[in-house]
Amino acid sequence: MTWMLLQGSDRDLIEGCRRGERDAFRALFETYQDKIYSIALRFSGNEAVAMDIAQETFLKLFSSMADFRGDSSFGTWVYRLVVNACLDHKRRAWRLIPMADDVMAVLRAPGDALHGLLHREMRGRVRGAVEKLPAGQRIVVVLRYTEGLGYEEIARVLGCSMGTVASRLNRAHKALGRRLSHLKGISHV
Amino acid sequence: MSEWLERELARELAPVAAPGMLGVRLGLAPARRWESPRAALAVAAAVLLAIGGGYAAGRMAGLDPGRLAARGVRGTETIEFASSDPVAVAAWLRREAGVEVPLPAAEGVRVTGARVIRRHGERVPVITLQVNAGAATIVVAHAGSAVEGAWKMPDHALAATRDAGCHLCHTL
Repeated sequence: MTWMLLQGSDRDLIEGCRRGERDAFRALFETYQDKIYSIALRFSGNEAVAMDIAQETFLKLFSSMADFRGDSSFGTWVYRLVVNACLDHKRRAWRLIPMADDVMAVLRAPGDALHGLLHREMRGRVRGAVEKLPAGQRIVVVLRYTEGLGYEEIARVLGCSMGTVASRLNRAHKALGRRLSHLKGISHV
Repeated sequence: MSEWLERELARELAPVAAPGMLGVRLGLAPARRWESPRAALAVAAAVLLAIGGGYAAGRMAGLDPGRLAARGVRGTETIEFASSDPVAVAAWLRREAGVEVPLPAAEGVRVTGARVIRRHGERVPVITLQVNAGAATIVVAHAGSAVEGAWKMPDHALAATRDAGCHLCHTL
């Protein structure tokens, strides 16, 4: 993961932010917005909540730039901020109505509507099952599958051992396997 | 773990692009009307809400709330607060605009934040919401505002430009 390294461009951005340069804040935002939003969305399962989490993360990032001492990589530090924001965010928003919209869109679509409906059902169930995981397991799953982090990197972000990461991931896989096994055939429709 | 589950997780949890609205909310990108969530399909409702007791009647004199809403409720001087917490939004509006705004919970309606804009020297409170899949905006106006097409009610008047506004109004 090259993102985990403190690259020259990151170093310049950090220094620019510390000097209060607006262009540096904007560039930092452009660099990390997708990663931060993706983690927030996959953790929360809700676009509006993800926006709140991402906003909180960036505000924290911008306001605490002086606190970054380089003990860990800048990427790890950013990951920690978004993970903490996810875990702190206790609110959940409605999901039923947007899902109903999705179903209506499929019903209106010509052709292989059944395939689309089943696919959407599948997608909803997979994400729904992830959202039901305990927060500690869910964040490991998101870092693993949304960001593609290895066990060692996840351990650094969460401040725990690799064994703990492996254990949480194993328990998450077992829970997801139990909850989703009945859908196994649908993905091949 | 099965390959099937591994594959599904990688596919369903894949990263996504952040919405343009995130930059707007952080003040790092200019606000444009089309940047509202799911803008192409969104029902951009503009609801004009006139509150009877809590807002001084003279404050909106000379303003056309309907025109203001149609322009995207942005002024030359805008302060903005983003939160999905109705209590926090109401407290912010109380502090920044001196207005008590009821934000009742309703199915399909979710507060996303508030703004206070300056128009003609007046502070105009604005509440932003997500109504179903669309975005909605409430411009808080005094009870005497003359709004074309508004539903006149005992304590306030409501006007909506699109159907999401209908849903919103019926929940208030």
